[in-house]
Amino acid sequence: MPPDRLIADLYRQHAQGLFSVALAIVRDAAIAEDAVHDAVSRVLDRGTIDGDAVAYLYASVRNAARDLLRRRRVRRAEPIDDRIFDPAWTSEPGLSCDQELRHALAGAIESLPPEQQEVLLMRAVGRLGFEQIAAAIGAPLGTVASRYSRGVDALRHQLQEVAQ
Amino acid sequence: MNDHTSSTTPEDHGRDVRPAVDAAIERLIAAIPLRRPSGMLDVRIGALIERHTHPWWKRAAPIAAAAGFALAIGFVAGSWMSQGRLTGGESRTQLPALPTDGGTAIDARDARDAGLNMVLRDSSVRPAALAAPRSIDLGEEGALQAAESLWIRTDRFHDPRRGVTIERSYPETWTLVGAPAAD
Repeated sequence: MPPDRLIADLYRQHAQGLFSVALAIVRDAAIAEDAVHDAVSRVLDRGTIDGDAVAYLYASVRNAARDLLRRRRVRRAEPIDDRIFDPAWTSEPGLSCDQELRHALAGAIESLPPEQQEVLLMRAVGRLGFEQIAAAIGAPLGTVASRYSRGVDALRHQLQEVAQ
Repeated sequence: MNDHTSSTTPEDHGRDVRPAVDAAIERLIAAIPLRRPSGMLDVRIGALIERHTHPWWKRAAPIAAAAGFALAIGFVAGSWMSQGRLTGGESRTQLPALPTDGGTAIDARDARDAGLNMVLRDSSVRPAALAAPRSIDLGEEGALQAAESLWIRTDRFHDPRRGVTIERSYPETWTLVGAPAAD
């Protein structure tokens, strides 16, 4: 399959996951979109994909987001909208029990350290395997498993507090 | 039955249930409405992919090919394979072969007393010959003398000796302009 066709397919499947990972890094929807755009552009310009295509695309988005974040830290002074989850949903009044749980979970995820957050998002939203996540973030498999485990532990702890 | 063998420690129990809890948490995370990218991102990515799938030089290629083909056909029809014909009087005299000039070959020609009938074929492509008019010497008997300046791709020839001017109107018709000088 030609790289451009492959990337088009991957983007269709992973647009939400790629955007969420970028958003978790830059915490600004417009910049996150720029990061996804830059990443896809870079991959298309390169013309080839090394290794796992999904992991490669996530890695590209992550790198682009970090590049933009470095620039933003220098240039931006205005406050940013930093929520990963839908703000309309999180501010919804009269939440049911299940929604309350998810609401608490959303808050808990957003308070996680970024390195745990991206692993959880790649896993839960992007449906990536641990090997793919390791390739995407350029870390050993053990590190990925450890970050995931610590992230889930933190979420579980938060949920237990909500349940009590 | 030894109870000890079937009992599980809290740590064992934790290990057993942990994957299920992790999976449940993953499902919960996936169920939380995420902020979605705007529709503009899809448009931007679509445009990016389109540009890479069909870059400008690929989009222009069929047009360039068609234009090139048309130019080539026009070039060939207008010069290499073109024939010029000068028509005139009654009698016909077959002339000896004419010298060629560089890439110009004249493979057939006739001369008539009251005029000339010649068939010319240019065997080469000489872009410099596009300039017109050019002069040719039609000779004593109306014979076409291939002068240095004879290039078939010109549209207008002039024979200063006979005062004859030949004009070509595309594609293959040559017209004698003005009467040839009387012998």
